[in-house]
Amino acid sequence: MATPTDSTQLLKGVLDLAVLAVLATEDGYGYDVVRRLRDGGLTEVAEASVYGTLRRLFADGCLSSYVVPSDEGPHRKYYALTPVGRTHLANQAAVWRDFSEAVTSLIESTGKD
Amino acid sequence: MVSPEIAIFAERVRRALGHLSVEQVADLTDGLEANVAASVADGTPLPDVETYVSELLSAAGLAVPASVDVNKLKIAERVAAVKHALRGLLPMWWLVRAAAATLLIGVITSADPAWGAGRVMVRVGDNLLFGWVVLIAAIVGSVWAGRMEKRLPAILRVIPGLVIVALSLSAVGNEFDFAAMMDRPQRLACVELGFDSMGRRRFPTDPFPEFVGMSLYDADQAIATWGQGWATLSLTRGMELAMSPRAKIVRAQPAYIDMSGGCPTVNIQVEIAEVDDGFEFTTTTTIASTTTSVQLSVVPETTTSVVVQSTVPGSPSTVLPPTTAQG
Repeated sequence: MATPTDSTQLLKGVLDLAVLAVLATEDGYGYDVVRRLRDGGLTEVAEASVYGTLRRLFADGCLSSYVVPSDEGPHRKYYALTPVGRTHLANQAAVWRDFSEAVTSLIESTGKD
Repeated sequence: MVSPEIAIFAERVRRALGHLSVEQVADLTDGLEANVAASVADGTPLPDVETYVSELLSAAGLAVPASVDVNKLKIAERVAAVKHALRGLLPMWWLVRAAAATLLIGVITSADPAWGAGRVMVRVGDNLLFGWVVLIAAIVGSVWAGRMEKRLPAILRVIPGLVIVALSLSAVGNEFDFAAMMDRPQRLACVELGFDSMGRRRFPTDPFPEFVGMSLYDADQAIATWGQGWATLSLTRGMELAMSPRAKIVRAQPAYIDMSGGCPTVNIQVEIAEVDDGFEFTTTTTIASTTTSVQLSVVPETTTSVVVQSTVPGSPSTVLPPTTAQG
């Protein structure tokens, strides 16, 4: 079991990919993305990191946004993947798969020794 | 409406981002309250402001400042608490402004001399129900508008307040005018001319305006000039009497209508009195109006008879012959 600090360090590298993956399924607002990441197993994800990531991906053109008024309180800013975002997601996903396979095989070979 | 804790947290985050441009802060904190509120609702405790801000900045690819000014945060906390308290009073303000505007308009447009529902409600004729409908509609409209106002620029949001101030000033000015008007016989002696079934002009004499207790002022706040008859007593005394605000009508005869002159004339005999230097001067005079005015005019056109009575024991009453007023 990884400690929070360990997973936090790992998360930093893959947060872009995780956020893009979540939004590829369905558009979402800030906390909605956090919730879906946590439900997906990334329980240690820091909310503010997700919001900052959303801002940066938006600034980079990977995301578009639109505002939805809420009955319960302040309006919500929803994010959606742009074509640039989809391409970025595909590239990042390929990189991640190669990377994780490499790391997994390294770990497994260590275990066999 | 977010909780005070979240409002304060959000304010502290915004202050901690003070080194960024207004646009950057707005962009980074857009939806902040909604997100934090949702997170808190899910059972997550409020995060530490400094940690939150540094995570937000680094994830957004922006520089994280070395430290956050603690004093700035404390000030931010107080500002946020006040802002939050004021925001909590907003619905109350929506109700108050609607009621105030409606009632002020009622006061401004009312001609009812007595304070009460008839004075403050907006009316059509004598129907107070209309006033209630207007009041309720105003409250509903105001609350609806209040909920929409959040999206308007701050400069536009002060307009309802300015309208209330303007209406209040207008109502106060109106009250002074109204009070001044109440002192004028012409105002109270307003007589609507009508026509009977034969097409003849008629005067409504019942109810006829109540004159007793009225002061004899005209529109210029001077005693009405129809006391001209006094000149035959003593010019000096007459002038003193005329200038005194204590001159009052103490008795009024029922009005009668004289049709003999071709055009009807309303005649009312009144007694005016003033106590001065131990003497009570009582003057009986006749006032009249021609048909050409819809108001009972105070122009002295007919013969005026004047009686002076002294209250000093042994003094004889003097009855002066009728004189013609030089109105």
